Amino acid sequence: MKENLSALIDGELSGQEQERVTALLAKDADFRGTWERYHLIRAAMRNEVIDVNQGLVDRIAARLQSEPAVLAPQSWHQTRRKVLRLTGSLAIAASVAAVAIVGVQFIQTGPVTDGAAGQPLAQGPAAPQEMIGPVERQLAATPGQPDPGHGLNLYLVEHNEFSPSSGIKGMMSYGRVVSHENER
Amino acid sequence: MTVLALRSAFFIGGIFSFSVVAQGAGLANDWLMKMSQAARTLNYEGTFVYQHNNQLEAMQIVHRVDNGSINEKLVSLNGVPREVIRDNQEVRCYLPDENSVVVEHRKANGKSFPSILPENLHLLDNNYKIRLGRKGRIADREAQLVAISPQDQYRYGYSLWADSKTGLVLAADLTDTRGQAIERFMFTQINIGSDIELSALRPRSEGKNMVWHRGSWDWASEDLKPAWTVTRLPKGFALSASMISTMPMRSVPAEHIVFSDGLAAVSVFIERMKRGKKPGMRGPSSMGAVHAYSTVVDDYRVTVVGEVPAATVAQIAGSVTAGD
Repeated sequence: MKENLSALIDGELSGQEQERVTALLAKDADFRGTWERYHLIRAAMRNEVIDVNQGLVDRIAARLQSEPAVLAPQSWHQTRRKVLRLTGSLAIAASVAAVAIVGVQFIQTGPVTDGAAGQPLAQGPAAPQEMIGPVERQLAATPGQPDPGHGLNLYLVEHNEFSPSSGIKGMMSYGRVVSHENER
Repeated sequence: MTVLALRSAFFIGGIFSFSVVAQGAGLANDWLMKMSQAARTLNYEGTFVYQHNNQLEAMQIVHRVDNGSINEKLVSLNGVPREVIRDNQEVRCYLPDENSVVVEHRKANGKSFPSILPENLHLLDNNYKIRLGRKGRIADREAQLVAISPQDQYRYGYSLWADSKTGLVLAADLTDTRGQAIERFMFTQINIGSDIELSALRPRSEGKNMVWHRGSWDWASEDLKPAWTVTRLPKGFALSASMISTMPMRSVPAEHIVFSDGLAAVSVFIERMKRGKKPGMRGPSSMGAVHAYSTVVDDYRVTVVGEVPAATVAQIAGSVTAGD
């Protein structure tokens, strides 16, 4: 199913397959988390703000509307607003993620899913502005306790020692190590 | 007679242009060696800017050579003053924002920070086109451009500006296959050859209240045959080093294998994962022109890091297997 997600994001799925994946997206919070994570990673890798497929979000919203088990009874209007809010939050989450990665952080798969971006649609995250803090913290902190020193920095320092191109640049190549998030 | 004269003229002309091309490549290679040499043997201190993605940062560098022993320092001039201090024995990274000092041992017994070696030039010529470019001016000094373009999509290109007098690299751009810069370093001010006091190498933050993390490594493991192999190593890369070391903040030793194409290098780290611990990095990540890809093979975490395109590290990470 994860391959299908990739294909969906790449716009490579046929109409029918797309329906099937979106149906599952609406039902399965974990799956939705994965989908959002994929988007975040891709957006972060490209250093761009996420481009959420508006049509897709609408279809999920429509699906939610027709499934009262997932969502507490409320008007279509409310649902749509929540979904749109989530969309906006995702965009911000993505840019925060991009900034974090630029600063030699790491792409942490767990927290994004378990955290704000992966919240079930029914709960609806707070206003987009308030998302920045939590996501940033989620990316910097490491719930689930992975090994310490999870970042790219450790590897970078070890690697630098063996790169001929680093050799001709001298200490300049350590610029990547001391570089940090955009703090201007 | 005239025909003969013309023919000879063409012939001589042909030889001449051929030798100019050959000489051009030779000269460019000479410059590479000169840069490599200068980076290790000169005293210098200055300020450079580092641009990556849409970010611009300024950093200060101090490099002191005394009787073959090298001491150097790099400090970030914006934001948190992170710094890196290096001598012949170790690399210390002071990260005040993480309240930690990370210390890694210099490896490979002087072979580390490999320079461009004459014996590796053929490797370089197979993977890159190297030519001497125009002259210019960087940080108020006359500079010579050496343009290095990749022969395929597995590696990046380089525009290196060397100080005309000393050969020291004053600016370096990494470019993708379309020639677009993805990362740029450039000195804005530099003093070359002046005396440098040892005190200039002291870290700003003493690291007193910080947590120190030290790595260690097994000297005997140097050049040991690696226990892991890469089945789909991109063309042009060859094994250049392998060792076993314990990185700072780690409790178990990791295998570290380095592949190089003569200029770029890719490191493969293989670490046994602790039970119940989540792997830290997973999938792709990047810093400037350095790309990384992390994956799990059996009970091991495989992390591939290199100043190469994302596809190169991903291909390598996807083909790491135990045994030969």
